[in-house]
Amino acid sequence: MRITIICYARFRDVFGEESIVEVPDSATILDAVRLLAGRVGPDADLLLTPEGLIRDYVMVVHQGSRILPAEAGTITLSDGDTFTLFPPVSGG
Amino acid sequence: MSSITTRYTRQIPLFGREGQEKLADATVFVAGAGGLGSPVATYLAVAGVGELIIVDDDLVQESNLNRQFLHANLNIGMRKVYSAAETLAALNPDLTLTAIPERITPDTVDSLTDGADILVDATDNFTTRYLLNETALTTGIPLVHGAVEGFSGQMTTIIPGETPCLSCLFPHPPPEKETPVIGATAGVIGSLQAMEVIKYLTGTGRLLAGRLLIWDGMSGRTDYLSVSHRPDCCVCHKYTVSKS
Repeated sequence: MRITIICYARFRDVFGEESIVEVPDSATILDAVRLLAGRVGPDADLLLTPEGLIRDYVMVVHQGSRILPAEAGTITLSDGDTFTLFPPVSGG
Repeated sequence: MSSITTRYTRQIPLFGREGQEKLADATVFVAGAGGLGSPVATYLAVAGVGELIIVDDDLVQESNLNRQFLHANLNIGMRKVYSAAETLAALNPDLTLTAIPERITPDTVDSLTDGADILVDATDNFTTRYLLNETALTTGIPLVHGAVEGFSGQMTTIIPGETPCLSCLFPHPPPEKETPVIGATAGVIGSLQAMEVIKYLTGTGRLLAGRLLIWDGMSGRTDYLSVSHRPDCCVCHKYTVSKS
């Protein structure tokens, strides 16, 4: 399946604005994020913990809804799906 | 309110004389007189909001001046709230401004926000944001959240008892560090925050309530995320009665 991942802000700087990842059938959001993160070497830790889980502050948006990082391993994707990764910002 | 002069003739058609009077009768609490606070306070002042309460304990530094246009070179070293007060008074002499050079703390937040019709989060840290969130939930006063970094920003309006709270959206704060930012980013998000306040006070338009706007100026993308209450949110669970 081809999945599009759109990255905002500092995620875009590291992972690219719009990336296509190829995942097997019944892959989850977590699987796709791990594939994306695997492309960038040490900078992967912006998205993933050492245990390979999505960091708790990362905002994942799939079909207009927020997916909590802890849920990302349970949300299965369909071919052609797009989701967005957004790092909340705190400056003012 | 003071008499409505020709100052507002270009905006009164948008929400009527009644809307203008609502602005004049309103008190808006602005937490922060920096990058976001500059466009927020400026646009609210020139729109004719009657009273602004601005709280910030920082001093103006030269490194603020790429984005914090309430302040100028001659204000370096001055309390930001007093510098802001001078600028805003010059922009609109009808404005009543309460400038408070203090840090917002759990002990002071209730008294600082007392009397406000709406709260604006123009701070630079999630500690204060979570404090404002709890105050909004305790008092029922709406809160307009905004934050920026680099070319990106986010904003939403929290209506206590109706929308998810800030902790529902951001149960875990992003890592706090000094981040780069360009003034135009704060200008975009701060202007949107001011717009939300004006819409709320005048009863016009559709608020960004229950929706998080995510803006990336570098790519020109804007996304809206529909947000929902988190059943395990320990903050809003304590205060809200009705949940969507």
